[in-house]
Amino acid sequence: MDNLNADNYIKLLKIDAKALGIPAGAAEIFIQKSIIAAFKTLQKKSIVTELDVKKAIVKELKKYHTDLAYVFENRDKIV
Amino acid sequence: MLILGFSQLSSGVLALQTHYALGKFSRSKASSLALFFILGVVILSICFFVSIYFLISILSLSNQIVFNQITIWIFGSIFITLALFCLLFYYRRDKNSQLFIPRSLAKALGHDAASIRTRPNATRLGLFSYCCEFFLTLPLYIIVSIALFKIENFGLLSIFLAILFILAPTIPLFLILLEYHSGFNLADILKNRIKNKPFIRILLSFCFFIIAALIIYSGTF
Repeated sequence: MDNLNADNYIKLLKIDAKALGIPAGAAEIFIQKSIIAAFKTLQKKSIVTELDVKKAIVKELKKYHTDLAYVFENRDKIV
Repeated sequence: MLILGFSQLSSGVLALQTHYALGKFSRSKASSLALFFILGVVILSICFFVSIYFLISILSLSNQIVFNQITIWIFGSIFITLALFCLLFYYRRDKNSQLFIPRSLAKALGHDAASIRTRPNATRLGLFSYCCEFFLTLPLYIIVSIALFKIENFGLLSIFLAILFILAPTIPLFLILLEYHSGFNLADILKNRIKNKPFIRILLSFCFFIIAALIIYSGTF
């Protein structure tokens, strides 16, 4: 697992979670779980792009918080 | 004024900036940054209006431009082009709220919105994001400046209308701020923008068509 990338995603997701009003403790738990699960599913792939990582994280996040998953998925598609 | 009230670019950037500010700072700081963003839009709107009005008055008084049929048809065609542009291209067909602007510019705006920390930077972002929509708003400023210039008795009503016109672009921005204060979040705002996209697209192009028709039919500004 690329720790640097995972840390970046965790940092971004924590900012999004705080902005959405999600309690910090709960957000940290399910963000960590989502990132770990997402990177686990990507280990099977030989070539992994940023889009694959994003899709996998969104898929895992949807199980916990749909708004957070939606914001994370569409953060580059607002403007 | 209706067209300025539906500006999508600066309202999208403000929504993004407020979202990131709420994620990093306190609510009061996020609101303050949003207000300074709106201030940037107001400053640029005033600068646009005053400079274009000044330019129109100088050119008219020195007879550099004449408001004849050719000018009327040129402006009519510009507005028809803008109407078709809004209807067909400006609002992208994808299921998101992306606009037809260069992706590098959109990325720069998004990145800028995420990294705003101080009030002067928020004002600068407001200036820059409103500037990016200049191609849509410039013909409106020119038409309104010409119309105001041609009024013989420039009274309180004209000044009031000019002020309203200058402040019209801030309407969607205050609505975004109000939504955040009412408890909505970026996900809700985004979903609303996507849901209302077809309506706004049709309304904007309809407004441009109406202006073109009024200019061409009346034969004057």
